[in-house]
Amino acid sequence: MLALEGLEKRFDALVALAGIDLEVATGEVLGIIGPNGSGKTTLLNTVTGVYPPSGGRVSFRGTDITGWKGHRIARLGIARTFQNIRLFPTMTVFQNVRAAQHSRESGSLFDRPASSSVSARSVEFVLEQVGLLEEREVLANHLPLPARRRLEVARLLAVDAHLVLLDEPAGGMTPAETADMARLIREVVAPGRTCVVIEHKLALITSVCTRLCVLDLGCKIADGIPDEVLANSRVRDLYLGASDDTGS
Amino acid sequence: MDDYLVTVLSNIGMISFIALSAYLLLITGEISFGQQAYFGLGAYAAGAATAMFELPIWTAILVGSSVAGLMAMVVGALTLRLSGLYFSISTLAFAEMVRLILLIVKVQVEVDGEMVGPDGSNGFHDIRWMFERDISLTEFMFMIYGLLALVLIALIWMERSRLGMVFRMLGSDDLLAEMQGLNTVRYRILAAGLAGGIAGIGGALYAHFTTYVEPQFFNVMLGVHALAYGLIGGLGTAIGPLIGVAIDLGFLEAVRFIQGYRMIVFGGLVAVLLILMPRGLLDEERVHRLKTLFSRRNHAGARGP
Amino acid sequence: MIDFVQNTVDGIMFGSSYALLAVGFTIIFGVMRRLNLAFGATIMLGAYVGTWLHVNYQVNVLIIALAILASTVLTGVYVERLCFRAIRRDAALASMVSSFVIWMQLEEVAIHLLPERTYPFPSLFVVDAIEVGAFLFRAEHVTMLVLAVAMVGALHLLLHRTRFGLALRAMSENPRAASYMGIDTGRVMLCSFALVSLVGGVAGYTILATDEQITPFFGLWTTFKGLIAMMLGGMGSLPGAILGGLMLGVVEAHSQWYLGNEYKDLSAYILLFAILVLRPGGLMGRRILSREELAYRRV
Repeated sequence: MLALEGLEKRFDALVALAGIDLEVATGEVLGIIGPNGSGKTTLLNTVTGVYPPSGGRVSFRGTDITGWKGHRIARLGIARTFQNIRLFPTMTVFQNVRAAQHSRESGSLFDRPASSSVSARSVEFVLEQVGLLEEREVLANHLPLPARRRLEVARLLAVDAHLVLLDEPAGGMTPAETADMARLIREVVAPGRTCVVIEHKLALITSVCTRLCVLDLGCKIADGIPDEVLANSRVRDLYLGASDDTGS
Repeated sequence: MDDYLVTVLSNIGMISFIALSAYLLLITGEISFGQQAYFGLGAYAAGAATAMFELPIWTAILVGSSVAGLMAMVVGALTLRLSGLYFSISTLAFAEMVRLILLIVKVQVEVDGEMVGPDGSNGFHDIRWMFERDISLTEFMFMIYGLLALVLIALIWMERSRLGMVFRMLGSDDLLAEMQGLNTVRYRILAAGLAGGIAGIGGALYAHFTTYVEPQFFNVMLGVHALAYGLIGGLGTAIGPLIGVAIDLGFLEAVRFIQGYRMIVFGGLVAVLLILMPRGLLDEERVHRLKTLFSRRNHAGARGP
Repeated sequence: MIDFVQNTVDGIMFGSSYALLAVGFTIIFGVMRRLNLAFGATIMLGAYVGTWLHVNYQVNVLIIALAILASTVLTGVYVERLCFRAIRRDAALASMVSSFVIWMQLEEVAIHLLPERTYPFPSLFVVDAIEVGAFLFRAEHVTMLVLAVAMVGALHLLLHRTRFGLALRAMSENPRAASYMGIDTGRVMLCSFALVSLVGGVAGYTILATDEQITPFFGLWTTFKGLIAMMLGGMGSLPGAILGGLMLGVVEAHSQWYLGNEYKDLSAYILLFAILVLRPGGLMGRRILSREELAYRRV
């Protein structure tokens, strides 16, 4: 599905990604963990075209997308969420999901957003899946944090994405809310889609991921079945020992 | 109606075009200090069309609007990489360039034994379409408001369409829009072109209403006022900028006893307004609340016996 | 060749006052991340108060200078309270428009003070031009340069040797982190407005003493010169503001000499537009600013 070969990203003198090789197979849910500053979000940003890589190649479903603009990559079927949640704050919940569909359509610019009842129904369907149907006419900046994260997920579900990238989907959530998010990812997002999940909370990682990969200082230091990776002593020292933000 | 009232109302109408132009860019997240350039280009191009080439007025307005719109697209493409204040100042630099060049350019042709055309710092005189066709000020005022209504309807329709949503997406978070598959470059240029075209219509009307134009009128004060109108009236709907224009030109023109202290009062009022409502009277939230209110009423009405 | 050198030096001398105006804009932008359009009008009102004293009471030059500085600082504080302190931090556009309407307000106050079109402004002293070999320099221009160099030197010391300077620089880097570190951001903002008003007052005074007259266009003029000079160098950079000011002075001097008066402003704008298009961020602008810029874009 997604293949990275020697992916590098430098910001002036700072090396954020030091040559990462990674393949994501169709249908798997890959978790990526690592201490702060290990390059997790930079990896997502480089793959989705926020900025071009400094070296290496990215290919998606056999197409070389290295250095493509973000909107072309998105249209190819990659969708993502953001660590610090990005929504259109002055649009309603419904409009936010509709906006995601609009950006990908190439139909007439002058259609009314709510005119096609088919897509209105499809928006309502995903809102129901994430449990936001009641709030459909609420402005996005009036939603509480867990609902905002769910709205970001609804946005992914509404578009036809083959690969979804989730950047800390349970960031800032309580254990109960995290469990809800894990269930949502496992039961609604993962079926039929390939997922990459960046997360600090091990509770979420262990319950949704089929494979786990650990980054440190821009390098991949472990990759495999979650239980085995977490048992790895190097990972324990580096990640679990150094951080108490594991949520477990 | 007396001529004074007609002139005031016509001015409100013509300035509304440039306010709408600045507003269109504001909702896409760009602050332009330079929409007066397209107002000016529209005025010169349309004036030239009727006075120098004796084209009909509607063709002239179309010419004025297209010249302004195309130029705005070129500038939009050149300034794509700029954002925030850098973009604002580049539009200011461009507008001042246009104004200063118009102060130098002299292109005149002979029409009916007289030299007509832009004459450098003397301006562009004798755009006499109104006299030649014997159009009264009042008739012209209706023309202005007819066109303004058309533009306003188009804008309101656009806001409900997919394009309007795209523009608001660009305005509130262009990175998110790009990440969702939107070609932000294309829409930024499109928005610049539309905004330029709208300002151009206003300029075209202005040239024919006053019968002469001079570059001094298109100084940066006009552009910044246009920006302020949008923000005073509110960024939630295209009606907002019109409210801003009406408050400044209409209300203050009416209250004669503050003549001479006009800016002291107006400045203070607007400063207080912006403290209380940083996105203007009709901002997105209030527009949303009004819409919900209306749709509830409609639903209630439909369900009623 | 002699003309060229003479023009360049004249340009640098006059440009030094542009540099001071640009420094004022850039410090405010650094601390506030918002544009203060009322800066030029602030200086103008101060200068009008001084001129009013001169016209009505023929007071001493020194008192006029002090009156200008004092009233500029007071006006600056007024602008800060009304257009910046009172408005939400993230509403950059509201602050900018608010400072614009206050510009109009200050201008009207100034015009009520002195309603005629032009007024004489006292020159600093009456000295003949200074001859150096084949070159001729106006004493006022030399004073301008000397004062500007002194101001920049004092500013440098203030920013790098005092606690206030440290706080100001910390806020320009990262306002939120600065407030977490216990810096009283409100006070720093107020003090920096007072500081740049002082700098602007000095620049305004030397410019007017050179021109020996003042018109109601002075506010617009100072706003434009300062903005252009700041943008040439890149926002938020002190060396950039100084370089931009000097460059603007030199370009104006040359184009006025070689092309004529009507090309003086035009060439400055063409240069500005070209630099912005070709080098977004100005000549010395920090690339880090682009992130702040994104925040600013969301008006």
